[in-house]
Amino acid sequence: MRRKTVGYLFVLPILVLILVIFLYPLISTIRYSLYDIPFGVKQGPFVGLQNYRIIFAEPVFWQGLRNSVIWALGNLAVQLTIPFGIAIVLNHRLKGIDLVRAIVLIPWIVPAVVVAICARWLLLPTMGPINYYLLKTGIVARRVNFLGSLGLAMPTLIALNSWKFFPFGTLLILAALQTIPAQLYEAARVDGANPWQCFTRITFPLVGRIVWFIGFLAFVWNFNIFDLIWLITQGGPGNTTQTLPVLIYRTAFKTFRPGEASSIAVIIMIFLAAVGIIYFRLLSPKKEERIIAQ
Amino acid sequence: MSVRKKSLALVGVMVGLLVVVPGLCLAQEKVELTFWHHEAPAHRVAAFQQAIDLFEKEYPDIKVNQEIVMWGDAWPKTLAAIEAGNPPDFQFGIPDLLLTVYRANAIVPLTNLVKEMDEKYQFFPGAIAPYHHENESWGVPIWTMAFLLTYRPSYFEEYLGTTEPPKTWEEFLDYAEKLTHAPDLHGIGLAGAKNLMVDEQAYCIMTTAGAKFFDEKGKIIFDSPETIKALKFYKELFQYAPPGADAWSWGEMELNIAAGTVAMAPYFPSVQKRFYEEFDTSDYAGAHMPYPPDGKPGTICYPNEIHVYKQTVAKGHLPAVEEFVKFILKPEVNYILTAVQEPGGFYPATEAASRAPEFWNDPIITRFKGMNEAAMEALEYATLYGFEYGRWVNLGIGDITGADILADVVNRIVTGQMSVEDAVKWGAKAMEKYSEPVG
Repeated sequence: MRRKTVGYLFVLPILVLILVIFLYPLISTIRYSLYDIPFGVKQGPFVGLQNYRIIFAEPVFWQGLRNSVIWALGNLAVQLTIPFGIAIVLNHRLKGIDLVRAIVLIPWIVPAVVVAICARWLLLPTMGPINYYLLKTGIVARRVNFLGSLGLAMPTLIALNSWKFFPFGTLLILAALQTIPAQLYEAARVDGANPWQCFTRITFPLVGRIVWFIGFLAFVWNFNIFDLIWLITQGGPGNTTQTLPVLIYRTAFKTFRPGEASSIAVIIMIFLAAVGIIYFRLLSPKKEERIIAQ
Repeated sequence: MSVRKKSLALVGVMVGLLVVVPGLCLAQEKVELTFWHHEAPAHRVAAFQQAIDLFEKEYPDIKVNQEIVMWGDAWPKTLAAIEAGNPPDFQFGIPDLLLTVYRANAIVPLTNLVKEMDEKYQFFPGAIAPYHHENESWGVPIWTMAFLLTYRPSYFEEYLGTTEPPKTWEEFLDYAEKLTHAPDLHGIGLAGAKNLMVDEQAYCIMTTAGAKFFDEKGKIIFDSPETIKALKFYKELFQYAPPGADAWSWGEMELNIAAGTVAMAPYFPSVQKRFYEEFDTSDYAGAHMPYPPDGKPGTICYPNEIHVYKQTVAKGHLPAVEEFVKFILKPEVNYILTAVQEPGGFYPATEAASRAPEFWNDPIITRFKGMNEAAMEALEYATLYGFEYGRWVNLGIGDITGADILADVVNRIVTGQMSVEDAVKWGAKAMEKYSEPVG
């Protein structure tokens, strides 16, 4: 009994921490979403689901949701494929590979605000060096409006965000690759397997679970990203890059409707929880793959 | 320790307290004021400190502390401080922020102080109007900001054979076209993104055509022939803006003005500090915004004010705050918060300060004298959207600005998503959501 109490005492600090920094804000957000907070932080009357009705009736919310899904999936596609390729290259024992592995980390270290400011300058159609070199090398015939064009702003943001994320994915996949015994490849080669077969039959199944896990992490992280989008486009041009977190910020801090902003936050939470359940229930790697991975 | 020694020690402590406590009480008579402002660059903070140091020298019983809250955090932090019952004694703000704190029922009127200062120094009409509501003044203007048509005279000379700026819309468009020599030079620096700068640029054009957000009763009249005419003109001008200008914010605008890739731009004449310090050139000028034949001179102004919180009165700090306000409004001090703090960015809010030799003797102000004189003239007629009637007519203006609805309308137009008529109709409808007419 006493041992049990001591055990609980050990758990208590982290439990308090979780309650304070996670559960309390979560419950507050849900509570705020049920109140009409007409102005700033002053609490108004209880309105039930009125804020949700307002939000669901706003076309800008649906556009935000669509943008968020495009943003998260677009990033996911880039962030799973490119890091995989880079990790495979970095997994080879080559001269200077340790230095390259360290250099690869740089984008992860650079703060989002630095990425945003540099990107805005670099991508300026009139004065940015990227346009200058694209024109000079004949890759494009006229200046490209990366951040001001309705069709290009989102892909440009995805590229920038993925550039920042790729070291994380690369390192995780690289760590997974390094757990694959070299004998497996040797045996496969002896049996006549070509590199593609080695990749599809050995590499991919054995790192599949880590890729699967990164996939979920990347989806949730990307879905919730606010800083880079706000700092580069503020959701524009039009509302083409206005994802739900950007809409939450605008609603809460630009038009002072914390009740409506909270309801969007709750919707995101439910949406991501649903995605998580589906992902872990339906898209989980097969049992045998897990056994191999273990 | 013996009982005797303990007793002696206790007596000693008590005697010590008797000596120290009255001293502490006397020291506490010195009033300590804390204020928030939002001007984070180091040279602006230094200018504030310069004014504070002068004040503390003249008023040794008042200590003043400046605290910097970035503009982006100003609204949430202010509201949080009000909710927590711990706002600063006073705060610098703009009309939108003042409206926010007024609606949070957090500030006290400063009518008598404003009246006294107005009699003494004469506030510009556009500086005082956004702070007047229900026969009370809620903020004291300290400095103001205004847009001009800024331009590069050397380009006018080279491509147009004149140094005269355009005066009418027709000339404005003609200049923009003739000054465009893509890809290196573009006639006009106009932006089209959904941000505050575009709100301001669009309003500069709108106000010269007589377009407004509200009528005198606060009813939304955005969807009007005047707005449509002004935004059609904006669209016409925009074709001479550099590619990518539809995504510009402040940084890109200033970069392009400084780099000389735009020949004209409706903008704050604040880049003069850069032209002076970095480029050492006078090739930067400013003029009144051109207007249509049936229009009138107009531009946007942003008066910056001081408002005082209810807690300040409860703490008995109001007289000290009033002394500070009176002190920094003295023309011979006020120039520190205008010419020294941000030459061309911040202008005096009073007629008296606008004539002060200290202001005009500033080397940057002197170098760009013509531009700064034009700005002073513009302050006589400059207005701010939603505050054109000398009082508040619609309390939703803060939210309408916060939602960047005007900029959103412009963005829909310049990116070809909507016709001018449809975008204006959409904008009027979007404004209705936030509208709170005073009546």
